[in-house]
Amino acid sequence: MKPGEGTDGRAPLLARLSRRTTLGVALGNLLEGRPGGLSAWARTTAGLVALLLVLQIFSGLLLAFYYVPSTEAAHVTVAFVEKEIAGGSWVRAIHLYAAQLLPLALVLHLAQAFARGAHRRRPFGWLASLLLLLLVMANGATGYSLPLDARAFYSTRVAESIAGGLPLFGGTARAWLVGGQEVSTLTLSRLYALHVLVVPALILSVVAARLFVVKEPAEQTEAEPGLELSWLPAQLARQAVVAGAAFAALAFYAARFPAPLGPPAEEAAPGYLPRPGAQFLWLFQLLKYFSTTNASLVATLLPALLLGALALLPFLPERSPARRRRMPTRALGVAAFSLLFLLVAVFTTLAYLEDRRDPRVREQLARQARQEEEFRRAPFVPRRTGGARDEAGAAATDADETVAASKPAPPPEAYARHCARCHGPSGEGKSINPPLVGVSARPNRTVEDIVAILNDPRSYDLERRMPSFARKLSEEEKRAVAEWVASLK
Amino acid sequence: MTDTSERSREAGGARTHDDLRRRFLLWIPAAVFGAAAVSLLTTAYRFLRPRAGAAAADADPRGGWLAVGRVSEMGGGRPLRRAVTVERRAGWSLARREQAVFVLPGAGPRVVSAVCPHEGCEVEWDAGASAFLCPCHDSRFGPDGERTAGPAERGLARLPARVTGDVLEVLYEPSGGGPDAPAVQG
Repeated sequence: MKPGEGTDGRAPLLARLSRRTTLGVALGNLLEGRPGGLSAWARTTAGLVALLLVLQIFSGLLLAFYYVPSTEAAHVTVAFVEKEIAGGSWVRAIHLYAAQLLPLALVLHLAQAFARGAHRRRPFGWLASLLLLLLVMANGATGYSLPLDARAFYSTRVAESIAGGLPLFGGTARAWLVGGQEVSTLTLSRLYALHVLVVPALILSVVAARLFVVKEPAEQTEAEPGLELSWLPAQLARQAVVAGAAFAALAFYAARFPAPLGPPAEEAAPGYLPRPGAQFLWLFQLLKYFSTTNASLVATLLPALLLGALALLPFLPERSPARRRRMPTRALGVAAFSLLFLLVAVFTTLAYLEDRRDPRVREQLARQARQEEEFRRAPFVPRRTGGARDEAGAAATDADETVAASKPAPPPEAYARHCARCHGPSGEGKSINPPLVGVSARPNRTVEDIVAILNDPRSYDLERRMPSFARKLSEEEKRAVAEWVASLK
Repeated sequence: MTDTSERSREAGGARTHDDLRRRFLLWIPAAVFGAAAVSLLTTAYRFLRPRAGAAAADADPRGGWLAVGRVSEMGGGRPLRRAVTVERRAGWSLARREQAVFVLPGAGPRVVSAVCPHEGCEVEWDAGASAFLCPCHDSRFGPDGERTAGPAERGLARLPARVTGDVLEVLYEPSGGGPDAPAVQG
């Protein structure tokens, strides 16, 4: 380095780093030429997208240290992160809210690029942003299914139905999505693999290609060859101010409002009203107006058409070469953006309004919110795992009997998992739900009867409605629960 | 303002002011990145920090005493292999695991862990050699559990034992840092 070079208008450290690494290429691609005035601030959407992507990867990595993608463990691991891990609730809230903000940030990024005409100068950057929009929506959809509470369960159900409703290959698409004929633990592993490996790998590839591989002309290449980027510190500062403010706002919001997590899906009471994440509300509302097949077509073709039109924009001529007339390319872009904004704004608003208007819906949603709050406050219950329980030595079992005879036996694990929420941890009943203590003294409440009630509660004309546990418990578990309940005196 | 800096460069003078300004401007992203990185790394540290010790299952009605078997069914002149079911809480999971122990012959309840104090493998009783043999690194222990040969530095861990009625019970505390603390802990 010649003496004095470090001081000729550049920050020496940045200049040195840029010369030795690909940082200069990345910054050049990201910051795209010398900005000024309002345009300089408009371009900070790039930093916003970068911030949100970094937060997603960071929080996602942390969550992956605890999450287990199986129907047995998924919910309990998420509840464990929420209730027991230091900062767990915050990390999960950041993950959820950043996921919902990412599509918004990307649309803003696209809109400002379009307004500046940058999509024509730098078509690859434009396509990369569109691709990212598609990918972050895909990751929002797959991620929503993972906690396996009621809202996750119905999100999976709707995604499955949208795939299944497609003409011609609907059945195949559905089977590939759920990994079989019905939603099972395989579905969860599939969605998990897509959510944490496949889609993030694609997102990172797109980002890497955008920053490091494709070199697109900046606005003033001739005027500023190489790294004579005298405006760079100022623009970096703008990006940092916007991204920093966004991060602070998001961090406080996430600390104040934890991400929703309901009780496990199998405990959802009848009448549960599932609602999607904010970034999918428009689609949720739109699907109310279409039957299955049409709904699938709307859910796939409408975004495809809009994104397709936007993807074509840089490549359509603005003037017809022959007649030198202006082509309506710009108008097409404006129309596509307007339609996108209108679609999302109108249907999201409609979704909110409809939920507020019907008092029954409003009450049910409020009830669900209360249940989620109750669940959040309830102490964490670990899940019993491992097979040693069945093979526990006969000696130990004998000893169990000798020791346990004096006290009431502890409830079987299946009871704690499925029944305790309504009937209380020791069968003492809870609020309006009846106690189970002494139930065997009543008519028609033998062990066989209790197993039958678990299988088909309706056939017993109970005073309170109870969900069926026919498929949630194994035969052994039903028997164990029934015997224990019958033993409560 | 960028124009001003541009002009000053072309003029070849009065650089100092712009340099200062640029350097100052670089402190903004540096401060923002630094603050964000510190807050995120702190979160990651708290989030991932392992909990101290393996907590025993909550509300153990027997205070950690585990049934080994009936005293009346034991006897004979050689160590008897028995399994105790240890319940441990690991984060969100409550896992039961079988842990082998040996009931030593003789008067009074004497129970040793089957975990070799060397590297945590499980020893076996070799009736022919009248010794406990470790299958991994050939440590040997006498019928009383004391070390006789091999790389182990001490004998098999003696577990606190008592007889309640006819039932032999032991206290198995693998996480207590005792000599039998196995290398792999569920």
